[in-house]
Amino acid sequence: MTSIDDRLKPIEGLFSKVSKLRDNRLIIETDLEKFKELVKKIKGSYTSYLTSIVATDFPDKNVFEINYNIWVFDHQTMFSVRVRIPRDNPKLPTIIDIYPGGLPYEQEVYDLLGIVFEGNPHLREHFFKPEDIKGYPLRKDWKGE
Amino acid sequence: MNKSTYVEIPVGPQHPALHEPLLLRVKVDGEAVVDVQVITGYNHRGIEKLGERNTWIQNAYLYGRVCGICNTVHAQAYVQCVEEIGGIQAPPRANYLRTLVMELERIHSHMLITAVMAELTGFDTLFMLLMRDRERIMWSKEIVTGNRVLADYIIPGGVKWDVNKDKLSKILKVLDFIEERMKYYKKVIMEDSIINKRWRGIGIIRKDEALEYCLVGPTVRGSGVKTDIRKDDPYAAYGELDFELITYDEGDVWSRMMVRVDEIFESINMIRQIIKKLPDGPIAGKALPRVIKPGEAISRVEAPRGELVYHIISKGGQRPYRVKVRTPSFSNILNGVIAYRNSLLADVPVILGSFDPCIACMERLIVYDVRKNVEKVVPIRKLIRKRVMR
Repeated sequence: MTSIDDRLKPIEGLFSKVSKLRDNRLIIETDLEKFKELVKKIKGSYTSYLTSIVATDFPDKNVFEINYNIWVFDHQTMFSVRVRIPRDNPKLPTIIDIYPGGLPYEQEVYDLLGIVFEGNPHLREHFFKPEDIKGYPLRKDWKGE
Repeated sequence: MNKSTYVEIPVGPQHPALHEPLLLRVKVDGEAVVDVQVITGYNHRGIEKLGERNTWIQNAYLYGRVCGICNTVHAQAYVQCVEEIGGIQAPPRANYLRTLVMELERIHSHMLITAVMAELTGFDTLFMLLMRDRERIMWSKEIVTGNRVLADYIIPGGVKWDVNKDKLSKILKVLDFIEERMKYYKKVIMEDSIINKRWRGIGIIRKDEALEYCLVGPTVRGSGVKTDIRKDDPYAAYGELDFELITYDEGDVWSRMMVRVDEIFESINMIRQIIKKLPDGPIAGKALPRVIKPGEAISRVEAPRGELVYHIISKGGQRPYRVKVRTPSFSNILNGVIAYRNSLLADVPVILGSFDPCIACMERLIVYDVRKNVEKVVPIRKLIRKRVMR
């Protein structure tokens, strides 16, 4: 197994912190400004595909934490790109121009957590949730009303 | 062609060719498909939200129910995460038994979709024969797990039941039978003129697109991409087994189906190896503590339909903080729309079928009672109580 540094050389300078869940699961934290550039660089530097977008609500820290889990074939490693956005202004740029396959993932996150992916024209509510469900069910403060 | 001359044909949500509710809005120009829009939202069950309310152990049973056909892989993916966060490990014998059940499941799942595809193609005899033979694999699964479909076999720390020599020899006999039958069915699929006409050159996905659109499993291997989680990121006992990674380069419906047919033979070989190598020892290790420390884990397994990802976040306590399930069908059905380009209306069900679509897998999230127009969360405890009171 190559060291973490070797694996991350092409994207150096675009992330703020790297931690490891296990050998081939890296959490790469970055900020909103550099986030899109980082994803673009990962797509350009490695053979990869986007496996999932996982958004989690943390009302105690007033943030949404969004993980872009990208599988990198070159190192057989999961790069989990993590970005945090404020809960009261849940917006971040779309990545469907980089990974077109991310479209349904973004649609799902928008529908269930209300996070807006700027530049994605296909976001719509009730993509998954039934018409009679109001609000964003995966937010922790959702009470079913 | 003027836009107004297109006709929109709804395929579904209730449609004989689709076994679960999904709407394909197909725009056609005569017989030629111009555009397909996938409309979802008919089958949402709220399993991710429900998982946040259940205890760690309850969830091992809940997540097995995301999908009936591939329930053991869902349980495996969930349990892998929990074991990683909780710091427990399954003993080697349990890992082999888990692999055995998952491979039995892959065989019956691949046989099922091959049968359904035969039916969609109008080849009902092949459907009947495949379904008849598939039942033997279901029996084998019952021999090991005690259940024909929903196994509830994989638990954190190990598996539920052990096997003995008698049981294993019964399974080997079934495998010999299935291998012979599958050789014949493979010949049929390769040589039958109707199947060749309906499956070859249809619904083509190029290799570069397959990755770009994040497709997974036999769908992406049918486009020549060499990826399989069992090889790339081995789990359970897969690292110790010898098997081939099947790919076909054509990228059409036929090649996606051939990947599945060939994988059945690989699975049969794997099960024979498992039975030969099955280590002695306990089938379950240390039990999962009721309260788990804070942590996070991402697990991936190769479900019959492709890569299945679980991302679980624990903040400590008796319940998970967040459980994210990304099923293979989610990617394949929604991103697979690229395959409908340049096809004819009659090919639409065949192309959808070639993704092995599982709607129950794809839509998992919200569950709520709307009787009397009142929307409210119904926690599982309340449901249990209601049942008891009745």
